[in-house]
Amino acid sequence: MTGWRLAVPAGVALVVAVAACQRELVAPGVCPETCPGGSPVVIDTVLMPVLNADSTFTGYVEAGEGLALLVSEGRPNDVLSPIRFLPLGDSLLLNDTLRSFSVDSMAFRVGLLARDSAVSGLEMLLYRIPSDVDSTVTYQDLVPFIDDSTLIGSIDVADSVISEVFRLVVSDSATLDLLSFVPDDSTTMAIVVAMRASQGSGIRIGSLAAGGSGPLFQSFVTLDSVADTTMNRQVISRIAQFNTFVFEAPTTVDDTLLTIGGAPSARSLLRYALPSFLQSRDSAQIIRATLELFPVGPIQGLRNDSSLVRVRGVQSDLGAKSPLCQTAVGTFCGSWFLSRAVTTGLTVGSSDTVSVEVGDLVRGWQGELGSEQALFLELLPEAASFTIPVFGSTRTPGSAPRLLITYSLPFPFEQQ
Amino acid sequence: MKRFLLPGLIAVLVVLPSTAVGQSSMFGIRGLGVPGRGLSSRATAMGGSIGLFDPASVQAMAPVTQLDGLTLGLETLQEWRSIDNPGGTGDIRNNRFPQFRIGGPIKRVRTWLAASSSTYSNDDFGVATTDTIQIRGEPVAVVDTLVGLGGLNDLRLGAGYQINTRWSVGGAIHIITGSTRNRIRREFEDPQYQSFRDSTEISFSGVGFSLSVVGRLSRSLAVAAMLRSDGSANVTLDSTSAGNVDLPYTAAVGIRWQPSPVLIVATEGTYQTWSAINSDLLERNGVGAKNSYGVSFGMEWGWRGTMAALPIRAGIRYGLLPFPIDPNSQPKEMAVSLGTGFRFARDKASVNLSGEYVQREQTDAWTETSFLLTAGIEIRP
Repeated sequence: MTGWRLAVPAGVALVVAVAACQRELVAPGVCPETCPGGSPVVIDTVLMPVLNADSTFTGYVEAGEGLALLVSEGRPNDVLSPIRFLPLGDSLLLNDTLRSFSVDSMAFRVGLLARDSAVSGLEMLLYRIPSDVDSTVTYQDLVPFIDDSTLIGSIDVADSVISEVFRLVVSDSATLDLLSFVPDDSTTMAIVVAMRASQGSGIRIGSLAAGGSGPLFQSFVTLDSVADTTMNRQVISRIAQFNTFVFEAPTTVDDTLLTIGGAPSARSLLRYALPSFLQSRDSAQIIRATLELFPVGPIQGLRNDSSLVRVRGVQSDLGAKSPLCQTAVGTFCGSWFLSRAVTTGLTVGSSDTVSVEVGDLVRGWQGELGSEQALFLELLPEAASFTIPVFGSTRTPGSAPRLLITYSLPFPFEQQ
Repeated sequence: MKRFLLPGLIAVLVVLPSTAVGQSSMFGIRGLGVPGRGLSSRATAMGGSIGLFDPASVQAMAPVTQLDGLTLGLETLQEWRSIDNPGGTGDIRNNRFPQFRIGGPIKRVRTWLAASSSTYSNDDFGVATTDTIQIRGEPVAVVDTLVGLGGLNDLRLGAGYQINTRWSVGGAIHIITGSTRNRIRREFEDPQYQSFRDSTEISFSGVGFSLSVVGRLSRSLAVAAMLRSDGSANVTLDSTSAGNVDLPYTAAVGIRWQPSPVLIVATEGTYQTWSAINSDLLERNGVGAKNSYGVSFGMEWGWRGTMAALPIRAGIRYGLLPFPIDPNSQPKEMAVSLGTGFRFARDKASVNLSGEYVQREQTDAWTETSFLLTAGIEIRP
């Protein structure tokens, strides 16, 4: 009986306790009756960059340092991509013995990353060039080698193919002769990639930085003095030691405008001064900020090839060498974190306003821990795209960048 | 048996949720919230009709003179509520712990001391509203969620004095304190917009006092009365003084008739001058407040020949709530209740349960119904 008397109250208490663990607070309401304090107030404002404090800087990423090399033909400013591979060497180590070899055939790997899908009859052409090619090379230096006498071969690209890794295998004796080394070569192979199509166009191919899509030179050799037929045939692979691309006429940057992209790449810096009522999150919560950029003309580039404008926060304003905020989602920039990538796509040939959502960056300007009130614009992929957008600056009447800020005032809670 | 009681009580307190919060009522969104009633689960089961006679309720101090010895009590309440208003319909569950109390006699001087903590007003609420607003010239759908957690507590410290075997009086000081933390969040349907959040904390502090009397007019008939003044409360908004708000006077009378040892019939009426705070609320852009009253009627029947083992309790009550949603009318509530309880451990402990069905409404547009399950545990160690 005693146990029963204890069990019943304990059980009742337990049931009530478990039931009490459940809680749902929010019920439907309707304003103004169930909205003490009213509704949050939302206000729009437009912020212009500090006059004449917006600039374009160049030289961040050199041609060939990006993920792609550019090649074009028949466009206003043609491009060629010279590539120099690591030395092949004149012997191969096998069973602790350096052994000479004879070349049976060779192959070149070229990764097509992007093309204009509206252009048909695309061919990628590989020419032999002197092995001493380096960063001083110019377009005009390479033109003499764009000739049938130095043609290693061509890669036909089906019209349906947008991107693919190709391999050009050379085994005929005439071409192998063309590819043979002279003593000055020091067994270093160098080529230039050109292209041809039914109409003027361009392509992007993988660079040294592109990994598996990057240039590769392979030699299929037979080792001398090795009788074992399972071991005497070897493949020697050499990645690129140097690659770049050169324009027929190097482009220049108009410093009265805001340019991003190109090679060496250009970036643009915009500086702002938040009004006092936006300086603190206690006085205004920024719920959206949109950067509007106005192209001064149709955006130049390769049709049907994608590129992005990326906007980055500035940790400290040191001009061209300003340390920038990280771009990974979740990292902090000033007093706020990035919840999404701050990028937007560009449409080649369009003159429409380019809008980028920069709310996370502008929120990071607020408070004592705020970052610099500045935005850095850059192109993706950098130094690896034909796209070169040019936007109006504060020196361009009617085309200066605008920052549209939407914010909410502190909520006037009912004090009761 | 004592060795089981204390561990048992501790176990129950541990099992119970530590957060004593939950939405009180749609009619607690405006003003100070829904006033607490200071009733035990036994008195709740009887519609509140014996609140002025019940030593386990904290309405009045005079009844504590009925305590045999040191007594501790705890009430817990679970609510299931359905809401219907112009914003839609919804179902809500919540819990709270409306009352803790301790009291006991100093018999040589015929005086009893008691202290309690109970709900003065419950300002827990959460409402979601939808709207479409124009931003940058475009319509954007938004959902606003406003949540308040907190309310005012009544910390009561007082004494009861037994004048003679028929009459007792009591008095208490009430420290009224507490805070409400309000949060608002606005979510935009367009993901380009960052949600808006804001919060504030409003604190109150004040002191009131109450006087009460309970007496037997005859063997079966008893009466009780209580007068209370709560003065005013200082309001602090995020650590900054925000003035005062006046709090009401309360007057209550009760009659208890016990024609036999196993039957009690009681009634009670309460009136509160909440309009005292009306001007303060209007100055703060609130809707205002109106005086309120409540009447209740209830009975307890020991059908097994004793009140100690599963008596049947029933009650009904009706009243007006002080804080309207719409200033043109006043919300009202009506409730019916049923309950029981039992004592155990040689009458040194008891458990009481009550179920209450409550209807609240203000015009046909604002209605809610609740089922409240209240459980009370009392121990006399």
